[in-house]
Amino acid sequence: MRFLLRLGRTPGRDLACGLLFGAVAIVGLIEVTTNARLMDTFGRGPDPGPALLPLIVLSFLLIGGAALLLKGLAGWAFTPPEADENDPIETPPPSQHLHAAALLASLVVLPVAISWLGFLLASALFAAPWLVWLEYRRGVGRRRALLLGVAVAALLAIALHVVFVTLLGIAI
Amino acid sequence: MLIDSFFTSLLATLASPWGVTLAVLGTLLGIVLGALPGVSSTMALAILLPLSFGMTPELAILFLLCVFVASVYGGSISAILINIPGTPGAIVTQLDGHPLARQGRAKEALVYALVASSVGGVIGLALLVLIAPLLASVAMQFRSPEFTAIAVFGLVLLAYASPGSTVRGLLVGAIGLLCGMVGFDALTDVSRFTFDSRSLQGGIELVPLCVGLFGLAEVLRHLHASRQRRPDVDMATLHSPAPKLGALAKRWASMLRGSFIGALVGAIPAAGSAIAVAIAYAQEMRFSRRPERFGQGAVEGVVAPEAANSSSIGGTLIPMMTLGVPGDAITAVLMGSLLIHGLRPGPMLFAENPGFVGSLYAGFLLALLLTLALGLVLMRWLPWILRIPSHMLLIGIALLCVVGAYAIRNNMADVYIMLFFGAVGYGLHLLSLPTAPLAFGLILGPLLEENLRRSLLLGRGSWEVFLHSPIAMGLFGLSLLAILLPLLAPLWVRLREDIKRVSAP
Repeated sequence: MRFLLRLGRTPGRDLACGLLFGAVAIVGLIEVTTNARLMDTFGRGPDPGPALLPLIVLSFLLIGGAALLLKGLAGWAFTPPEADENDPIETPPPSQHLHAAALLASLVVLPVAISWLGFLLASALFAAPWLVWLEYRRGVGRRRALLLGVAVAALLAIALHVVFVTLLGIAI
Repeated sequence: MLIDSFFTSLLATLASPWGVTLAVLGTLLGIVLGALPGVSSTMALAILLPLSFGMTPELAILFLLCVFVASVYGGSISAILINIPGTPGAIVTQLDGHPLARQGRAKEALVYALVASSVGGVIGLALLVLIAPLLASVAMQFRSPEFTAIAVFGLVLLAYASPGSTVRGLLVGAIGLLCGMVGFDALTDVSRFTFDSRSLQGGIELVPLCVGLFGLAEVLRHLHASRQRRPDVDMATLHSPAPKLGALAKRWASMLRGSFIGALVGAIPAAGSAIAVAIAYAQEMRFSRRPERFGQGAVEGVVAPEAANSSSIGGTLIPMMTLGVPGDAITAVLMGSLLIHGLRPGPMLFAENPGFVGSLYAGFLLALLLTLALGLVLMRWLPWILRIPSHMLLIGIALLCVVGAYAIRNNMADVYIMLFFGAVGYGLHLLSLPTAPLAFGLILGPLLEENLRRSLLLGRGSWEVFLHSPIAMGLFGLSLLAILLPLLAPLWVRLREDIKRVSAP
């Protein structure tokens, strides 16, 4: 628990940022250096080729990521536990991540549902459970949340269908 | 030539029922979305951008400018009425606007904000019309080394002004640059960063990235807090008398000061409206004979920042239109719209498409006039806008993001790219990293790479080509200074304190 709490503080964020930038740099460098066609053009002739800028940018990312990682490690190792009290935790509550992850997951499924059911039905089916749940969380009774959620979801889906499909002619 | 096309397109828009309808619709949507806390001007523009794909470039820019200008005023509505700024640019307006509302003078504060916003917008437009062609004609003389330096300088400056440290902003910008390299290289046709995926071969479009980063990521952030109810608005305060013309005219000095500060600060890439309004407010306090009234309902505390906020729009358009460097995140989204319509902002825009530049000026003026007119007409219904439940809005925006991303190329791959960048935006927020440099990197990446390679070709592979350009060297020097300044400033402060301590008796 203490480890998780410290992740929300400055050294923890430095570590996470360092890992993120470092990982992107390593994946990118592997992609560039293993691309034979890309590397063949590098340093041949007056045109420096399409590998030049990626290599410069990835090197910058690698150095920056490593510096942040070292800064985070140093902060983690040398910050006394009592200093944590002056460094406020900026980690949002887990339920925020749960809501975000659930919405993202339902949005990933939505394009598949659109291809099966069409935009109108799929978007109404996507919006209704979310609106019912979010309405219910606001302290409204179950029945009212259900009625309101379903009605607004239907209106929302119809409005978007009219604007994008009927008026703008987008074949979704 | 430019004046001719300005008047021609203004008259053409006014004579076209479709053009007027779009302008009114854009203004209404801008006021409503700008007024809603949690929906910034950038988000409003990003989610409404797909509506403009089917329009002509002239109508698209008219619609988007109406949304942009109106959302800037909309941001002040919630700042004044419920003490929550609708947009970051309205953050200072609430300091004196809300105390005025609490004194029963909400209508007065809203009218002052609206008029100051309109005056500021017109001055911002005038500076844009005057400065942009001059800067564009200077930029026409630039060659590849100068453009390489401009791209580097723009990216560094944009990262410098982003929240958090410059280095972190630059690292996020570097990921943006990499995103701009995804797909086939234009010169050699070699694929880069496609990871053998067909969806990535076409590259990453700016619009799905912006919709994900500025639209969906914000929905993911705010969804959990949507159960909180907003404070109610006291309707009685909106029945108070509006200020008379004479009282409005008496504030001309505050409006002018705010407007010039806004336009000049806005013209600096990345400075943006939030910095402009803070400077305008501080200057107004300095000029005031009774600075102690600030924070307790001083009218100048509403007028000057609102004028600065609106005039910064014209300022932010200057680097975008003349150099192809977005002034801030909002102009990055606007650039996305122009690119979709095959228009690359930069000095060549003035030479190749003077008609479009004229219609942009005309659209800007129309947006200002419509915001003033509709803002005055709608004033009594403003509290109803603030009653729209945020959870309904957020789910609607999430659906809009999906349809909008699909609408770019009628391709589901763009929807998944948008979802990916929504998740990336949420993750960056968790790590306290700025999101906007990602979009700046994607925009400036092609400009940087094309000109860097061309410069090296000109120099026959030698980097000395940059040494022969004083402008490029100056810009590289300034970029280095912007990176080193945040690192060296604390050392300098510590050194100065040490010297003081040692020299003290």
